[in-house]
Amino acid sequence: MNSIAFGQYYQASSGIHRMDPRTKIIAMLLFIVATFLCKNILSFALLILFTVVLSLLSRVPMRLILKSIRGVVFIIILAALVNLFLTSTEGATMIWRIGEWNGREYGITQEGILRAVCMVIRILCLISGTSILLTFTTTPIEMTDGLSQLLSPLMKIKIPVDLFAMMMSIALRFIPTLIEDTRRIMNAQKARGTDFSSGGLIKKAKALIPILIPLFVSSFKRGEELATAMECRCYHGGAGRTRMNKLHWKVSDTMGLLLFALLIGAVIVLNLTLRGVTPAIA
Amino acid sequence: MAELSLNRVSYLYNPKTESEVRALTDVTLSFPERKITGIIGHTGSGKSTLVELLNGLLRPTSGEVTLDGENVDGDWKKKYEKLLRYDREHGQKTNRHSLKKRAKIAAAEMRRTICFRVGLVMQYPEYQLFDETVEKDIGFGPGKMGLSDEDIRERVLESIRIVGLDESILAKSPFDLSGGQKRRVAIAGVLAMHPEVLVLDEPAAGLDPQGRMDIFDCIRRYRDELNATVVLVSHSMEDMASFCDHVVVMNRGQVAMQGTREEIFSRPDELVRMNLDVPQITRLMMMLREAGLQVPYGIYTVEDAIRAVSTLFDATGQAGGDADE
Repeated sequence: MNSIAFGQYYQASSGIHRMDPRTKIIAMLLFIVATFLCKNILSFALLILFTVVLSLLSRVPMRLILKSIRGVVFIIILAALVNLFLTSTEGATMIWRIGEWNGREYGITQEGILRAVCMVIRILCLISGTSILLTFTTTPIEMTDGLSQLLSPLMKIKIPVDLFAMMMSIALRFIPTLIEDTRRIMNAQKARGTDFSSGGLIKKAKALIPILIPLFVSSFKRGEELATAMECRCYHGGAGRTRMNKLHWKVSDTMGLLLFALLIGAVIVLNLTLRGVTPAIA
Repeated sequence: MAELSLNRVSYLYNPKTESEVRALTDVTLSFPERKITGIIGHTGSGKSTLVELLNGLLRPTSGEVTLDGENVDGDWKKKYEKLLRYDREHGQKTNRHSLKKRAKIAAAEMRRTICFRVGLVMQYPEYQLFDETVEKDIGFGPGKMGLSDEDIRERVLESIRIVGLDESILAKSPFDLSGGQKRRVAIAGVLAMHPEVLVLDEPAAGLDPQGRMDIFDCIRRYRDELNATVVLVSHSMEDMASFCDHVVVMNRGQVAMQGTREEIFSRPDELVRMNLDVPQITRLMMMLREAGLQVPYGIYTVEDAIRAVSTLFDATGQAGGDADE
């Protein structure tokens, strides 16, 4: 069951693993802002440096981080191509002219290449940075805890954040169970002669019915049983519930956040001071 | 003919990764035809993996599972090698191309039919029920075999009779049945395919004593009526003792003991050492022996025990009053 690494959590002991999930969520937001603020080569260099340091600190093997990027390779290529060919050619240094269409010139320009490269770096840093901060070093349960705490002010305006958090953690907890159920039912139906691999789209979709129906039935049954079990232990919504694992804000969390704020500050300063010195990128 | 056997089978989960787990090591077994063979073992001994290998759901990492000498996982390369070897041994000239073709056809045919020939009833089979009516659900497997509607109907009726349910149940939705009925309908769904070898993984788990008896009765009835071979996985020693002809004991992914049930249960000490229970009555006999009473070895049913103890009484006259029996 553990072979399916849900959410890709990587078990290790590092400063980033121990950080408060709330810190990590805020830090991630700051990091995303920073990646989009980068406007020149030096700030991108800083961004790369920061991401590399982050990955070293987290002790997540580089192999895994690269693997998480593999899923978005298509998006990266698309973004690169779009920037490469559709960057405005006005006043740009043309390298390879393709042609003219609707009174506009198309071709590959120096600026276009620069923009494409920077866009790739931006996406790479974005994906690896956020996955290091959250998915690799934070368990899904920690994440929901942190999120519900961060959003708890919304309770003042009657949004049941705690209920959402409970629903989310139950959903997360049952994913491995569901996967195991699916595997078992699939095997049972295969043993009765269902073939999932051959045939056209419609035939394949039809072959899913004998899996989906039992899966729904058992999920509903599970849900009912869980609800009964929770009620038996006097669960009645979130009001007044205490937590088993209380989150503690530590000095290191403040320091961590400051570091990310500093990153944004540095990026802005670089943007301002280098305006006109190095080529600006979008 | 339905000779199912395993030849030096090993199985690894997630081979060549960090999470590699060795589930089976070098298992060589064959299941006697038309007999009921019980597989017993502690949790994690590889029983369930073994079961999934028997009808090609899993492919062995090494070794092979064969039904009447043919590889069950439908790997045409193995079949090809076999054909090549045959030709070489018989000094025939080999046309590699046509051999390859023959091997591929045979392997595809095996992949298609193996599920019907080795019927597998998984643990808690009632989870596999899905169709609108019991009749359609039982007919699902035979339908996949490509049988005509009349043949399917015939098989449905036959299997519902074998599992001891009333025909009136056929029109009901499988989700409206009781737990024990669901279980029997699910088993009927496998029986309807007329498998030559019937494999059941803990078929009686979670049922009350009457339900257990019913299940075992219908398995025995199927075996008798269709001359099938039965493989039964269980961790209840009582079931093994009262129900199986042959017993295979698994321990840490290996075959620890195999033989007739008389042979296996005459070695209770070894079973205990493998963290396995012996039938309660056998344990009682062991205790009596330790207490100095001359009861024979190899008792695993209550009837035998009564006989043994009463002979003991007769032999010692009425003086044996200190025995609690």
